[in-house]
Amino acid sequence: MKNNRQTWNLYRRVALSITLTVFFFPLATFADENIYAKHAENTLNSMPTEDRQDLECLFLYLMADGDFAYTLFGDKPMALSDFYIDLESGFFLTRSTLNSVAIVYKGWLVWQKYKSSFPSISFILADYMTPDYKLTGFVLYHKQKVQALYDKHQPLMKMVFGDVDHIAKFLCTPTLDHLKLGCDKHMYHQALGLLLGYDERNAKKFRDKFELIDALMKGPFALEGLNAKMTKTILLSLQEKKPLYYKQTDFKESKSSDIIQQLNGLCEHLKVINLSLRDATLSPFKIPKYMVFEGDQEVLKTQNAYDKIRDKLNEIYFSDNFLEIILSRLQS
Amino acid sequence: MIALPITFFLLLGAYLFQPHIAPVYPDKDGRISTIMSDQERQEISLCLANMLWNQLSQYSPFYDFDVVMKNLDDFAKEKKRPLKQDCQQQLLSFLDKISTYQAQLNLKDAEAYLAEVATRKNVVEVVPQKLYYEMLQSGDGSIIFPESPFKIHLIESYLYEGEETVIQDTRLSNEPITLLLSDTVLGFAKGASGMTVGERRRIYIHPDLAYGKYGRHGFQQLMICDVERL
Repeated sequence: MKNNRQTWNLYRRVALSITLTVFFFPLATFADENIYAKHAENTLNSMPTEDRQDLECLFLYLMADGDFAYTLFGDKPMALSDFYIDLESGFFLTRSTLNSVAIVYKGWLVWQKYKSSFPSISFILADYMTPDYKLTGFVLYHKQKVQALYDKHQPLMKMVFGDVDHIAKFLCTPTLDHLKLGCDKHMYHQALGLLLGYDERNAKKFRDKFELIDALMKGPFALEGLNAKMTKTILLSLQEKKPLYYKQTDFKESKSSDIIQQLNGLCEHLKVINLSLRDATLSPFKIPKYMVFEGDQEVLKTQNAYDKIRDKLNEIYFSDNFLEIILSRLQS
Repeated sequence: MIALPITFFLLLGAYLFQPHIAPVYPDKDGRISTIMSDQERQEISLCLANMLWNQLSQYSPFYDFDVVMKNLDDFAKEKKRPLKQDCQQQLLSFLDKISTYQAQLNLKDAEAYLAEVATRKNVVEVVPQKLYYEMLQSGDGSIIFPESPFKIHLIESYLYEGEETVIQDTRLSNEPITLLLSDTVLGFAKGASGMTVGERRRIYIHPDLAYGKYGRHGFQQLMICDVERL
């Protein structure tokens, strides 16, 4: 009898806790969300018109210029938007590019004032500005999707980023000074490719692109019948990166001719592919591009997924409530 | 009597210790002349002047030409050293004002142009003060629906400092483009809606219904599309 009562008491306690958790936890979360939403709405309503316009321009620009919107409204786990705002590269600047620089810089400044008023539940929107004010950028990612990728691609992700919470900070250090070894850079680019939403095969192509760029920067004649000196330079630069990188990627010790062949192969197959099958001539936003194998199944899949939401993005772009839509989605 | 020698020595001192006036990189030992003629150096100087002027004109009328020249002169004579970093942030903070000013000018031009278009005969008003089109050629075929792709020839122009400037002409390249109305700027989608095969329209689009403050080829610019459905 006593045992029965104890069991009943225990049962009651557990049942009560479960009931409280089931009923009140969502309510508490919902209340939190409501408070955030209300606070955001108040901030937006009390925002000076000029600030509002500057923020609107910034998000229009982010949406028009890259893959920001595909992350915010589509399946893309992460979007990176870097902008060179170096006014000393003056000979290349036109009024149009100066206008873009003005939008990005002013938008970034205004966002610093308000970003704490728009905390996000599902997304992280991080930003950076280099100390010389010549490069700025925004990193947007969907927390759950990035967490899933982080878990799926172990130990690479752990080796590159350490903890999953470090990813935003990592990506907001564009100089890559935090990478201790040259070979880290290659793992970093592979991990980045995966986070940007590409499968393992294309993430390797993404990494190869950077390797190719590195090699070409050090020996620009690599792909056109190298002379001995240049060959040596490129091979040395590649070999400097070998130890850890080779271990992780089954990259074999190669002879000069193999590496030249590999570089030639990369150059031949890697083409800039539009991530849409549509013509963007009169579209308000550009089509993101990617360097992958042409005709690749994954690319076709991505193109179709991107195309599916372009109409929706177009509607959002021209909506009278553009800023409200963007900010409320960020807070979702 | 003593004033004269003092003046003489003062003038001599001023002459001897005057700042370096000669060109910064003179061809002291004649090495440069072995690879480049004076005329070639003149040509380089002219190119640099052109490039500098093109750059300066982007900031017009927001700078004082005399102050720019005075500072360049001071740099050349080593009276001053150019700043390394401070200018970047300083200029960035002014850029917004310049950009806003240009945007206002463009918007004013666009609205004045549209007001004039609205008075033309045979102009169809789609959105008052924002969107008009002229029928250049009537068509005879199926109508465009937003979800169906259609092929066009396009002459795309913008109003730049009050003048129409052609950005692209697919007839010149003989490469028509295939579009979906739902994937175009709102002004084009509305202006080209209902076009039939063979029809040609000239659509005038207010910046609000085109690229707005952020523009591909400029900002707050009127967009003009001469479009023929194929």
